[in-house]
Amino acid sequence: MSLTFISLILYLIFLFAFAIFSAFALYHLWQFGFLGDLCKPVAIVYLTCSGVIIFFSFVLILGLFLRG
Amino acid sequence: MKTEKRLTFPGQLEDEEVLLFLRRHWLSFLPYSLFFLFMLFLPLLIIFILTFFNFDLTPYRSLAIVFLSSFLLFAFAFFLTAFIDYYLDVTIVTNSRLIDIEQKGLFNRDISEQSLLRVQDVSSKRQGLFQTLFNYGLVFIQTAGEAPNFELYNIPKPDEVAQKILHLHEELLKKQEDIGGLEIKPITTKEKEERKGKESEEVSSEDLRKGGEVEL
Repeated sequence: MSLTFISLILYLIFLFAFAIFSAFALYHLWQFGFLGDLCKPVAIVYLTCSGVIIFFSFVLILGLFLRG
Repeated sequence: MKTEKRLTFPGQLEDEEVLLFLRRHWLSFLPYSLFFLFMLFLPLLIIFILTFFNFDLTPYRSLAIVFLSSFLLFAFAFFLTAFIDYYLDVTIVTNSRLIDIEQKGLFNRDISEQSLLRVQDVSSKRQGLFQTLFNYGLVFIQTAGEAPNFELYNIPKPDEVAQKILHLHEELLKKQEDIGGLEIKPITTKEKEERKGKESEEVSSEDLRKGGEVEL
């Protein structure tokens, strides 16, 4: 097994935990926020930033993986 | 300190109006924000140091990418947890109640409420340089009986808030006394005369209908 493959597996495990945590956190923001406050904008920014980081990391890792 | 009348919250009564909506001062969140920024720049710092010492990262590129993205995601998760802890700690003062919502982490949420009528004493306290400069501090609300007291930390303009809560308490107490009829108002001589006049009018009209004799 290559280092890239092991890294990818570890990363997927981390992402699973991260997704569960984020779901709980975003639920709190969505559920307990008040009208017109910062809860929803922060949730959207968090989702966008996390999505961008995950997307680019996958692009880079998969690029390395395909190259061998 | 917000005083939005349109603001609503779950469990709000029909005739209840939100008069004060309190959150902790933004300065109490500043250390977390600074730590988050530091976490964002830390990988850059590490890369800079490794490059400075001519450390070749090429064989570990995939591991480095995984570590970097995991660390960044962890930083965002940390920030979100801190934000939830700060932002969902809210104290709501309505025209009849005092509601304190305390969010502890992600899985603990304490909601305590008390009638404004049970408020006995409200005091404010500012300690230290920052609290004095930026006008924020502790608001302590003492309630009657065995009911728990309210300790609101890092509240902006604590003196104003304390005064407003006391004022609302007094207003509600006055209203309650008026409705309950506990307050005995002395009758003025003018009112006495008016009442006498009405009584005599009622008697005279009744007697007239009966056709009896009327004493004037």
